[in-house]
Amino acid sequence: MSDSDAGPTGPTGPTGPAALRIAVRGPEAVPTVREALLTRSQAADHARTAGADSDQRAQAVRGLIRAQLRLALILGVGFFCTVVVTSLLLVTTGLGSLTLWGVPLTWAVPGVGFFPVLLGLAWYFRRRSEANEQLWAEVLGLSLQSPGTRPRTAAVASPAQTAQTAPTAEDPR
Amino acid sequence: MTGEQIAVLGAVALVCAVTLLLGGPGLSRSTGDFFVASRRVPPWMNASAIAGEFLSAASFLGVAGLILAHGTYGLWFPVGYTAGFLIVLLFMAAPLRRSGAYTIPDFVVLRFRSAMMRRMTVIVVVAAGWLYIVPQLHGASIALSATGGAPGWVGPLLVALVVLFVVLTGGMRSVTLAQAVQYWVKLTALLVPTVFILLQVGFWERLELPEFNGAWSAGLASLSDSGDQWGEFSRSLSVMVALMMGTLGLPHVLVRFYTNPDGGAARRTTTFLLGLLVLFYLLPVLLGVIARMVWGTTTGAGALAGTGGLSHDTAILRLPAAVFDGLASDLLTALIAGGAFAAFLSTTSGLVVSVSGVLSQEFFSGTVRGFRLGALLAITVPLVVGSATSELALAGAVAMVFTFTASALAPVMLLGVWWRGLTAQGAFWGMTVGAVSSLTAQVLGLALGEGPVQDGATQLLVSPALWCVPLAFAVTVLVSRFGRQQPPSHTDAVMERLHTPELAALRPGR
Repeated sequence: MSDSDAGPTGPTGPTGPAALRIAVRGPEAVPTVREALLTRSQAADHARTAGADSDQRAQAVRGLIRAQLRLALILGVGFFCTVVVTSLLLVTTGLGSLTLWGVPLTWAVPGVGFFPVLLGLAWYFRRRSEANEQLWAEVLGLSLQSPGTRPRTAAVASPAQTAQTAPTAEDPR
Repeated sequence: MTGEQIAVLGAVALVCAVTLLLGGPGLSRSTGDFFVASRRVPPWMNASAIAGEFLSAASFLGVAGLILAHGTYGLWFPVGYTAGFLIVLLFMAAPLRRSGAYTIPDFVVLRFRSAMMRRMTVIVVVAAGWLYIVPQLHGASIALSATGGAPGWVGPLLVALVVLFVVLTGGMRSVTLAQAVQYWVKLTALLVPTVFILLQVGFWERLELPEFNGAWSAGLASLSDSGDQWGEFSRSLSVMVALMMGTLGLPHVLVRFYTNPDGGAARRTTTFLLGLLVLFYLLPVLLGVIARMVWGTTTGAGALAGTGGLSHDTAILRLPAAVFDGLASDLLTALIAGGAFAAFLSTTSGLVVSVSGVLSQEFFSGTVRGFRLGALLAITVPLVVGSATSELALAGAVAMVFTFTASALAPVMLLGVWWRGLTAQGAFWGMTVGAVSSLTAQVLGLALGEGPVQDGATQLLVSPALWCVPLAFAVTVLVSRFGRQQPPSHTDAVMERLHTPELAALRPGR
């Protein structure tokens, strides 16, 4: 039982943000004997499966799904509504015949205007959804390796990257 | 034989040769290699491969053709195709990869544990794949006959043979490499002519001149009626719904997500992919606008029809000849024809791989031999169907397939990933209603003829995504909620698997 509770607030290495987080989150949980004897990968495995029927675990998954769905719905429905409203404006008002460098907006907006919006939404979603997963991992006392990064630094594998600090978790590629 | 024909045939032969070379035997070893390249493909390569596979005849030739014929209506296609992958990224990319399934029917089995649902999904996926291959073969036919002077059956047969060889000997692994290369081939094949044509036409100086205002008018009188404003609006909206939701159900695109190493990589792949698509789609849009400048009058359109163009789908292929003379025209036409062939080959092989994967898992016990048998079936049927069906506009035909997958597969996939309350019964009825309603409406709409905007109600029959997709969603939800069945007992476990990061990405908290 205590397995899945252990760890989220443990010492996270010499990095500054980690030290700040300990002050906020309270005392460190002492690892169980069994956990201390496990290798790192075994411990991850263990922590993931140990509390299979615990409320905390199920709640964490539900919370993660809800957060991801909310994010996806806001962005997806938002984009579709933007498209509908924009095209209505272009068709029904005089807005469409305004020109931008000689090109009427009825052509410029659907021709190129939506592409930057799409790219921006994709970038924002990836950032936010990974932050959501970080948060979930933290609740379970795990830390999520920032995807795409090889385990190079201690900071990558530290739970210091919460939803608030996750913007720093960039993809180096 | 004219110089242009020799150049075009040479370019097509080169594209086929490169495809054969990249797809040759020797790279794949196991059944896993065959189906999903053993899931070892890095994101940038996967993104190129998905883009290479996705950019089909409709994107390469059809978009510019639609812009020429229908004006701003054609502009919604690139936006819709790209937005489709935004929806894939938002709702499907990571969960689909984390499901660990090979094909869409595998995913459905994981979710519902229902043999009937599996059989149903197989039918829908195979039908979608077949329907999608037909316009590719049709595109190959018009490309080769319009520029290479070959008889209509040569193009489809050539595509079928090359694709069969690559798929039979290489499987998914080599297809991935070939697809990734195809994207860059296609981009170059449009980029270089676009730059040359822009320089020749003096685009930027002449843009301001009043006589080119013709390029911006909504539709050409000779090619389409820009009649009812609301019909036009509902048509554009319907296309957006179909393209955005339909991408979720494209079998050849979704199978690519299984080749990512993990869910996070699937998201990175999709983000990168959106960039590649935007980069590509600027070109057909630009070429479509130039085509309107060149042929933007009634006489111009008549001239286009007279130059051996079978339809406006050949607009891009005829553009260099209209702007340049002699060798420059021959070489640029050959480049575009080669790129177009890359589009037919890559999309067709992707579809054949996914259809044969599904067929072999369902009917031939998932062996490599079954995969090869499936591949044979996957290409032969469209070849026969394609030679029997009439000619539709490429982009229109592909939009019909998107409408079909958006209605039949998207509701079940989306709700399957995100809603615990979904039952096998609800999924079954949603899929059935979506498939039947969208197919019936479109067949009826075809009988009325494609092309000009119809008034209100008729237009909803020609492009029915606007009501088919919500209908399928509603049926799925209502049957799940009020039907007698309970959601599968393992739903929570599956949900956790779909939405939580893979074990490999996890470390203990210290």
